[in-house]
Amino acid sequence: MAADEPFQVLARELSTSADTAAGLLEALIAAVSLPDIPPDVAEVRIMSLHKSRVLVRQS
Amino acid sequence: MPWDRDLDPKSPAYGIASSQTRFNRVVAGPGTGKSFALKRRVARLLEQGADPERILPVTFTNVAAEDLQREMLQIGVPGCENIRGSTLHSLCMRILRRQSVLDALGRIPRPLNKFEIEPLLYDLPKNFGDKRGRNKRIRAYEAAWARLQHETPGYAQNPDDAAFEDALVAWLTFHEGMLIGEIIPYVYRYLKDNPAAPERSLYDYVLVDEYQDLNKAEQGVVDLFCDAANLCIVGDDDQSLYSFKFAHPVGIREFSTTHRPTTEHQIIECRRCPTRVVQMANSLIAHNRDREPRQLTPMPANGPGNIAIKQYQTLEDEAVGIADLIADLVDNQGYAPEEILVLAQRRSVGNPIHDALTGRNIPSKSYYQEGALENHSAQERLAILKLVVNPQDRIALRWLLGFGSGDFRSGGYARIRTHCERTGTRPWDVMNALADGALQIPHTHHLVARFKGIRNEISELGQAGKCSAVCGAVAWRASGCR
Repeated sequence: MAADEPFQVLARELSTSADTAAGLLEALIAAVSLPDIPPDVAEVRIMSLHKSRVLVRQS
Repeated sequence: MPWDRDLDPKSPAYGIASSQTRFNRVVAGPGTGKSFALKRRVARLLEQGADPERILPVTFTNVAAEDLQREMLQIGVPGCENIRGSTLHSLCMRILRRQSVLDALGRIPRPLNKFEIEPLLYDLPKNFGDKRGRNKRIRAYEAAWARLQHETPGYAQNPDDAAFEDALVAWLTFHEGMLIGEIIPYVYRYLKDNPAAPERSLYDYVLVDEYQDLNKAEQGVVDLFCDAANLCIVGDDDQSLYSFKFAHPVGIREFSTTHRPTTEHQIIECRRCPTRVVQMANSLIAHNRDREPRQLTPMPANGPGNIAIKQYQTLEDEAVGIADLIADLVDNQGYAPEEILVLAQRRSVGNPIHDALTGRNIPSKSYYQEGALENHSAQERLAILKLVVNPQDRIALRWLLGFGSGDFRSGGYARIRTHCERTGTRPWDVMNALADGALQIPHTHHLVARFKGIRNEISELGQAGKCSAVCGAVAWRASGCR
């Protein structure tokens, strides 16, 4: 697996703040499951038409 | 702030905010200011004494609900801070977690991740068609078997569907899990079968955004929340994109005939887009079938906008061309990366663009949902963590036992499940007994070998001591560095 695989990055990030394995699991599930797109970003966003509907709804 | 401050009494927003009719249908195109109109409506309700906790705004996403929360605070009317926006799924999940509802349904609302559905597809009886056919039937089940707008959500209407539902629910019940898509049908049935359920009279005012994306079961849940409540729906049948979950634009088109009396509102001035984009949109949506005739009105002040059609010989050329275009926008025309959106029809198109942008040091992010959990190694890590947290997590154990096999070892696993159901024992305990030689079940040796590996890993993680060490090990192993 490449060094910057999304799950690895996520797990690393979240494991620093998780107090318990259950806490890490909860944070991971939230991070991979929620279809929302954060409104404050600093990058070009690449997504499907369906996903972009979230942006319309947020605008 | 008075709800009607600076509002033209002839404007659609005024009409929406002031309407006293029990049902209101707002057809609003993109960028027409429907959120503004809804906020004014809520402000009027509060100013006229409505209980904020009995006002329910239903949004499409959690972020939209949070945005709404912030916007409600901005209207500055006493009580606005107590309005809680919610997605329909979140609201239904909260209802399902109530003990009385759980008791009534006999199910455990442990949701399945998308990848965890895979073994279910192999475990279902083969007479329900191939894997794709079973998947499609699961989606129909999730729509409470209302595949078409004129069908009534509820129970399976033919023997095949009924048998499929029996097999599916038996699997989910045994594995103590729930499909995300089951949440709505279960709440629908709970509310429909329990006319005295307190959840049916929690609200006096319900507002639903993006109504055209609700399928018939979701529309039914909204109606059941509105036993005596006022209902204001907002949407645009021209923007219906969710046919794959059996959402149908007919729902919003027929609202006025299924909910009487309904006051109709329409907002058609597009304030967001350049005029040429609005013209193109009008031209495109005119091809929609059975639509109500209307045209978005462009705002000349927005200017015509720039539109270019470019074609490339190969996907690689296209990625380079788009990245060059974006680089020009960022480097020479003063646009910030966050102002740029790339719509790609699939991940295999989006990834080369992402790579090309990265090569030009332009920050970019792909939002394809399967991103973090798209590879099997990540799925395995998450499943292992689930078992570390709860060794009796039957869904995670089932997935891990089948992982690495073309058919998820469904044949051997069927024997394990049969044994569990006959003896009332749990899969983890049965696998332990098999691994320790205390139990013999024919044709399960592959599963037992696999289980020993899973058990060893969980044991190692458990012996890591501190929780932080467990977390670190899971994160570290996610990189494949064992």
